[in-house]
Amino acid sequence: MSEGAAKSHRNILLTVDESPSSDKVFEYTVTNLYRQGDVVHILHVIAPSRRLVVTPDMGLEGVIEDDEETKRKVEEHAQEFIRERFEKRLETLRIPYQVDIVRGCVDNDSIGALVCRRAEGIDAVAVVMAKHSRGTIKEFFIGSVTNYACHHCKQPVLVLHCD
Amino acid sequence: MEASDRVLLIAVDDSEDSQKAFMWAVDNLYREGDQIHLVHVVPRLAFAAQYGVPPVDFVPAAENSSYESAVQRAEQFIIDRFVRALPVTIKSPVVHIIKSEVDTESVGHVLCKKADELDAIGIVMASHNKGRMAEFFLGSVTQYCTHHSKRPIIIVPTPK
Repeated sequence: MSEGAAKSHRNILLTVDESPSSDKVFEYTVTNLYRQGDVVHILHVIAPSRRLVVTPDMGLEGVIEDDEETKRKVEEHAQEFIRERFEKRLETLRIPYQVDIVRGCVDNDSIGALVCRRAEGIDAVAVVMAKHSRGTIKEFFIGSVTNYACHHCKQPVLVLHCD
Repeated sequence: MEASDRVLLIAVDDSEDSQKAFMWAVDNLYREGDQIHLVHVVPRLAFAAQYGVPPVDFVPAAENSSYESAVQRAEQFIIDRFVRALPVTIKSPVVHIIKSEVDTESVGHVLCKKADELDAIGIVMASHNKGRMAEFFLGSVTQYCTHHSKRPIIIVPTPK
């Protein structure tokens, strides 16, 4: 980029979780998409509770609410891993950022809708997500969020294959 | 600052949605020095549908001329919709018009293979390949690529 070129002002939305694929999401963004001046928005959705009631076909039937103490611990843990894995690097790279940690809804269609709403709200130039392969229950739900976003998001979605 | 030298693969067809995906890539992904590759796949069955020949493996008389016309039409829309729209500062794109040889080989499969061959940093495509229809969330090509591609896919949505 030449001296005096107009500074970028885009918002890039990244959806992250604790899995290693979020590192790939982050790396791809800062290596291939990021332009000086852009703001990186990190979105992390906390599972609605630690105890999920699932139907025989792995659908989510309901949640057993966590007590306040557990909720607080889960949130703190989320803040911590985001700080360690993403915020520190963003600061080193001098990239302006914003972190949103949201307590998730009962079904992953709603989580998907949440992601799409956020993308629209910040007019994201792209939503960067990982396509998880099926594994644990948690990954199953998160994978469906990516699927929902691909189908419904009004902003471009960048899907990384992370096996 | 070192120049970029990445390969950007953009799947194109003769539609406004495809043009939008292309412009998104040019405006938001492209860096000086990158090489843009435009890829258009002509599936074998397209000849059959358009020229009324049976979709068999080899029809010597019909084969060459119908394929040539399909390529010429593709060259024309690629120039009109994509090459002309490219800012002069950007390196000329490499254009690939690929005939998919086997009936069952999907357009998506050809795109993914080409992306691997070119070592592309991603495949950019519109969400829909035949215009948005109520019953489909994603066009079949985009659907295929999202599930099968090992490389990043960038889906540029078709507005309602």
